Amino acid sequence: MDGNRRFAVKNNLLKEGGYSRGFGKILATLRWCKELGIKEITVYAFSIENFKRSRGEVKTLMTLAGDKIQELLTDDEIVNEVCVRIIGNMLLWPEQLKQKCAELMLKTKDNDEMFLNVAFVYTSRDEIANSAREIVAGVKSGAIEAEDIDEGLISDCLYTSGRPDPELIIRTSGEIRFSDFLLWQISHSQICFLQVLWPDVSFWYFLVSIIQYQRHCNDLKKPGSRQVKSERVRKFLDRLQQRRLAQLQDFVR
Amino acid sequence: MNTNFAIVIYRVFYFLLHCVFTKFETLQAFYKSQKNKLCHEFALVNDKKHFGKLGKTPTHLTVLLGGEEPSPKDLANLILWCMAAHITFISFYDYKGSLKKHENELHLVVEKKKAATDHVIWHSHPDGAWKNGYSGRKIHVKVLSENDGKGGVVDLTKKLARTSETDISIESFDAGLREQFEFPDPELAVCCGKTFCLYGYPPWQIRVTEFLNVDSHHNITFNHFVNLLQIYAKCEQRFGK
Repeated sequence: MDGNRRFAVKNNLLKEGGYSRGFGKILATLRWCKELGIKEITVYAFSIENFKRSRGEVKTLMTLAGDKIQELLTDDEIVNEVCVRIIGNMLLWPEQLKQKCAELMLKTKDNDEMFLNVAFVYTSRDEIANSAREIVAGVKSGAIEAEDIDEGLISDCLYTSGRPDPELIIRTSGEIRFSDFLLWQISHSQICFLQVLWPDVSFWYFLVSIIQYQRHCNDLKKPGSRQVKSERVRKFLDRLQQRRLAQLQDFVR
Repeated sequence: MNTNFAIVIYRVFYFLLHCVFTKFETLQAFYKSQKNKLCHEFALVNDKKHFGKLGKTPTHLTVLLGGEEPSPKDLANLILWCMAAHITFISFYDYKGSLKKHENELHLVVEKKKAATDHVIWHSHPDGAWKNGYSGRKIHVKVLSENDGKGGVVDLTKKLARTSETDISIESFDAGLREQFEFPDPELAVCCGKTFCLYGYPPWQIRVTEFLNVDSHHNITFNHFVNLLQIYAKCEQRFGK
């Protein structure tokens, strides 16, 4: 979702205007996905690296995030049809947003028509290191053994656990790097870099990316089939999910 | 009946759309191949003349072969051109593993093409240890395969689980992977083949890598190589700011 600030400059708006239009584009993209039969989308809203921006800008972004999460909470279509997951380092979420983020996730967790994952206070390295940390703690506590560690287990301990990897990754605004986004999950995805700024993305740009995916999807190597999980691994993963759920419930109280 | 008819129309339209795209891609490929025939490769290049105006060059360039079979003569060219551009590290990622199996062939082609004063350090070779005090141009070369990707993260996690280590920060994990990977993170990645995909390339190291896609590494020209470096030189990184 790159290009919000450049969009604001181009259209003589304040930065908030650019970000606000960018948020609107998420909802539009969700509608396009629904039309095309695409069930899931993951967007990169705020990187842990973005805390390096000026205090004023970070405050603006967080205030806007709070407003937009509130909007989603009162949007019937979202609450009833979309499973919203906010993926990122929960402990680094600003205090004033923890409750709203948790509320949105808990309210929509049982929806299964569409899935919207919002990477918020996220970096892929933080996610992978966190996954490794959980696994190492699991081995040290005796819940699992070192020999249980494989690619599947690391995937299952990521913030995106339980969701399939994306088949297509799109970055807008002409940049040609991933900036620490879903590095583990995009191993076998079709890559599409678009010149257009995120708030300027129209359905036709989106369609071009889909067509590119369609033309190459047979060449994308599918990841190997996962090993059957042992009982102790399944118990370990269940406990991890329960802990994360409990953390969210804690934020709401 | 109407729905079935609509489906047929959509399918015909879909088929025609992809035919148009295929035709366009074929014409584009033909144009490029004709253009390439008019250029010629440089076995020995004048460093300052070709790379002087670049501004910035990557320290580590990585080449993802994608679905292509490795072409030793073209990979050798890339090694020598990188050396001329003062790129210190070059790695090749072949998920299928065929380059790793036939790496000796690449060694032989490079030995034939390089100048006597050029020093190529092969990291897969046990004698490829880096020696100090060597003058002349030098470059480090490494061949990666799928095991070096996510498998590297798995191996490090297993290692940490078996020690008494409890501090698993991003920094300590990075240090562990750096030791394993041996090379610095690549600043520039060139993906070969019509399908733009990572094919399991080591995920940790590509955090801020710039990615460019080329149709094929087969018969890649020197001009095309310089063009890739020019595009890289123009990339501006904000690192979150």
